[in-house]
Order: sequence, then C-alpha cells, then structure tokens
Amino acid sequence: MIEFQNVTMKYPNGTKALNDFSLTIEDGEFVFIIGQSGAGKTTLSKLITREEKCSSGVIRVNNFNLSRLRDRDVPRLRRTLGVVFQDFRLIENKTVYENVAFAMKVIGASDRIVRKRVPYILNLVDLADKARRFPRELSGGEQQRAAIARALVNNPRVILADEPTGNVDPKMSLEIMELFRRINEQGTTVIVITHEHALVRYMKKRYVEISHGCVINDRVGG
Amino acid sequence: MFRNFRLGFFLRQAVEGIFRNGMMSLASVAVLCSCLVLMGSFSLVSYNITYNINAIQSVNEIVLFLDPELTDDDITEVASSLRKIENVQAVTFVSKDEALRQYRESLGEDGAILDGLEDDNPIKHSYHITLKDMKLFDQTVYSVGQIDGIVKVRDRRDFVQSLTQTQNIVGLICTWFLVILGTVSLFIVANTIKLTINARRHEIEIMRYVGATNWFIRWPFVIEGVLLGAFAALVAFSIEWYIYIYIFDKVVNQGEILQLLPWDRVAASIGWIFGGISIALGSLGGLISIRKYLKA
Ligand SMILES: Nc1ncnc2c1ncn2[C@@H]1O[C@H](COP(=O)(O)OP(=O)(O)OP(=O)(O)O)[C@@H](O)[C@H]1O
Ligand SMILES: [Mg+2]
Repeated sequence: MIEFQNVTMKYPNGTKALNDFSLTIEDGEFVFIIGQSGAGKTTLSKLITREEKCSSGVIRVNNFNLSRLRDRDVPRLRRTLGVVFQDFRLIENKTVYENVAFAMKVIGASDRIVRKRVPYILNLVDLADKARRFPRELSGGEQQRAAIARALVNNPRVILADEPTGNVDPKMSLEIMELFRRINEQGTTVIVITHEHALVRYMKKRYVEISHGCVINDRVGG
Repeated sequence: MFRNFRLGFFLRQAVEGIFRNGMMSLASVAVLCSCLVLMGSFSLVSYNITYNINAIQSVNEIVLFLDPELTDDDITEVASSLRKIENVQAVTFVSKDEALRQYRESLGEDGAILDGLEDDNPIKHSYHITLKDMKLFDQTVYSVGQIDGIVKVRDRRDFVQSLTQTQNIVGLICTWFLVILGTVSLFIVANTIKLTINARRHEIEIMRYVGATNWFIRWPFVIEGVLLGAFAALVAFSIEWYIYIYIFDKVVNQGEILQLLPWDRVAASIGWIFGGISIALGSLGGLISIRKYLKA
C-alpha cells in the first residue's frame, strides 16, 4: 500500500512541487497519475522511491514509513519497487538478458536463481527470442519491454512507470498497457504516470489528476 | 540465494574495469610501483645502516695503546686507573700477540702476509674499554688521555656518528617520500577508478534503483583498487629484489667495509610494507572515487 498524508514537497530552490497532497493506493490497484507538465507527477514518483524526502506530511510505502527510514534501509524499500523510465535506461553494452540479469545480480541473487528467473520474465514480456540482442538492436517498444522485464525480475510489489510510453509509438503504447494489465492481474500494483489521456480512456482504470501539487480528480474510467 | 557479498561478481566487475581503461590502469600501476620501489629502497638503506651500526663490534669501545716501555706492573697500574674513571664500564687487556692473531684472522687467506712478524710484532699492547654513556664520550677520552703510559687512543665515534646522522636523514626523506608519493599514488589510483565509475554511471544508477546496497556498489571499485595495488606491489617487489641482489653482489664482492643484510632477511618486511601500503592506497582510492555517487 502507498499512502500520502498531507504531504508538502518543497525543493531547495523554493518550488513547491506538492502541496498538502493526500493519496492512497491499495495493493493490487492499477492507477494512472495524470496532469499537466510541472504538476508534480515525477516529484510524486521520486518521493515514493525515496530519491527525495518530503518537507512535511507522512509517506508510507509497502510498510515503510519514509520519514523514519534510515538511508541504509533505502535499498530494502527499493527492492519492493520496480521502476520504469521514459528513456528505458538500459545498459548499452549488455544484452537484454544481461540487463535483466544485472538487476538480480546486484541485489545478490545467486547465478542459479538468475538462470531460472530471467528466461521466465523475458517470456512474460514476449522478448524471449530477442534475449541476445543489444538495446540498440531493438525498437523503442521492445526496449521498453526489456526495461519492464528488468523492473519485474525482482518480483516487486509495485511497478512505478513515469511516462513509459513517451518514446514509443501509439500502437506499441497500447501493447505496453496490455502488458501492464497482465502484470497487474497477477497481483502487482501498477502506477503509470502519463500525459496521454487516450491511454487512460483505453484502459478504464482509476486515474488521479494532479494540478499544482494537489489532487483535483480521482475517479475510475475514462 | 541472496547475499550481500558476491566475490565472483565483484571480481569480474573489477577486472573488467581495469581492462576497460587499460592505459590508465597501467599508468597507475607504474606510478604506484615507482613509489613503492623508492620507498622500499629508502627502507633498505635505513635497515642496513642500523645493521651496520650494530654490526660494528662494540661501537662504544675505545682502544688504548700502551707505551711499549711499560713493565707488567705499570700495565696493571693503568688498568686500575682506568677502572677509577666513572664512565668506564669494562676494561679488557689485549696483548700484542693476541692483536696480531686477530688481525691475521680478519685478513682471512691474505693473513699469510703477516708471516714472520711474530718475533718482531709492531703492534702494541692495548686496553679495550667500553663506555657506559656515549654522551660523555669527550670527557672520558680526555680523562683517559691523562693516564701515564697510554700513547694512542683509537675510537670509531666519527664513523658511528656519521652513520647515525645519515640514518636520520634517510628516515626523514623516507617519511616525506612516503607522504608525497603516497598522495600522488592515491590521486592517480582514484582517478583511474573514477574512469571506470564514469563508464559505469548508468549501471550504478540502475543498481541504486533496484535496491543494491551501498557496499554492493562499492566493492567492485575497492577491489579494483586492491588489484591495481597488489599488482604494483608484486612488480615493485621483483624490481626491488633485483636491484638489491645486484648491489649486494657488488658490495660483497668488492669487500667494502659496509656489510649488507642478505635479501632473505629483508624480503619479508619489504613484502609487508609493499603489500600493506599498496593495498591500503588501492582500496582507499576506490572508496574515495565512489563516495560522491552514493549520496542516498
Ligand atoms: N530538482 C528540482 N529542483 C527544483 N525544482 C524542481 C526540481 N524538479 C522539479 N522541480 C519543479 O517542481 C515542479 C514539479 O515538477 P515535476 O517534475 O514533478 O513535474 P511533472 O508533473 O513530472 O512534469 P512533466 O509532465 O513535465 O514531467 C515543477 O515546477 C518543476 O519545475
Ligand atoms: Mg515528469
């Protein structure tokens, strides 16, 4: 569960990105976060991953109280989250397989587990046949699916995607949404930040609209 | 299953890092290695000075040659006068025959040139005295000089003093070299590893996002530093060994007055110094270079 209670987030330069912001996302939900540029969507995401700390209010993510979380416990929080970026952030000199395996190895997974888990996940995102390709040899949609595989491979409770379809054509965007839907159906919470109202209308899921750091709309459908 | 320490992974990352910036790695090994050889050489000089000071038999010994005209009673008289001097610790009589024998021994095979001198021994009887306190050397020598029947006083103080002085200077230079070269090596190693870190900054970012611990991120770079250091230490040790054996041969073969410790007796300490310094510098270099990437 993700819970924001009266959270205010002020950047050091004085910009108030979130203002008395409250939001609850239950386990297993599929939620869109929408809003104009500068509304505070990415800030929300960075607060969840604890890249930023809020100025006031309470944030709880998967049973971690983020205002009390010590720096050395941040990795434990992050292992419960799978993050997906607009620009994929795949490692250029590693193949798809290696990129996904890397995410497991760096949290100390044994080779045996890696060898079992990675093919399974690549199959899930429909990239099994492209496992040996390098990111530059893939389309934008395929790269994003590889990135989603990497986010999924450590079995997080929440997938958090900030503009995942920003660099992907519309048809591929819908495919990625279907992939998220499948992931969500297996019990993982999915949070998608997007500009594209079309995706929200297509998916008919809960969406939360943010403006100037406040929730102005929170409803289901499109 | 899931562990916070994966040596295999760290080693692979570290070795990849070294070869990715091959030239820079080579450069830092070379610099580290030169530093070690310089430091090692200074230490060796210092060791050998200490060794020589200790090896010079009874450095605080003064030899007093006696007037050949003295009778046995006079000689005994001199001994009791010597014993009365406060700073004199031990008094040993060395007859001229004994002195000749010792001299012959010290010449080894060349001792034969002394053949025939037994009956016409030019050496004088002597007293060897040792001092309690080297600081009172001058006064004691003066007091001894006052005693009748002593014709010549021989001591090795100048030699000892110059050795001690040299050792102090070497020690001082050594310390400064250690500080300066250590800093230079640290800087070079840290910059080499920074290149690896820069090439890996996307990987590090991903590691942080998926929840790798800070130590998991650090280890490969620390190990990279340790490997660079260990390699430099190995090369430096071989170079030092070669240089030492070469100089040792020269000194021993030319029968210099100075004696050198055999390599076997210094190898261990050189090894420890090199290993310790290089591994400390290497890992510190790794830690320094990764520091700013680990802000939470
Ligand atoms: N590191 C920062 N320092 C200072 N101000 C920032 C920083 N990051 C974001 N902001 C400001 O905070 C506000 C919210 O930014 P945020 O990135 O959350 O918007 P967003 O909703 O993600 O926008 P977009 O849709 O363009 O990505 C903006 O006014 C932005 O200028
Ligand atoms: Mg944004």
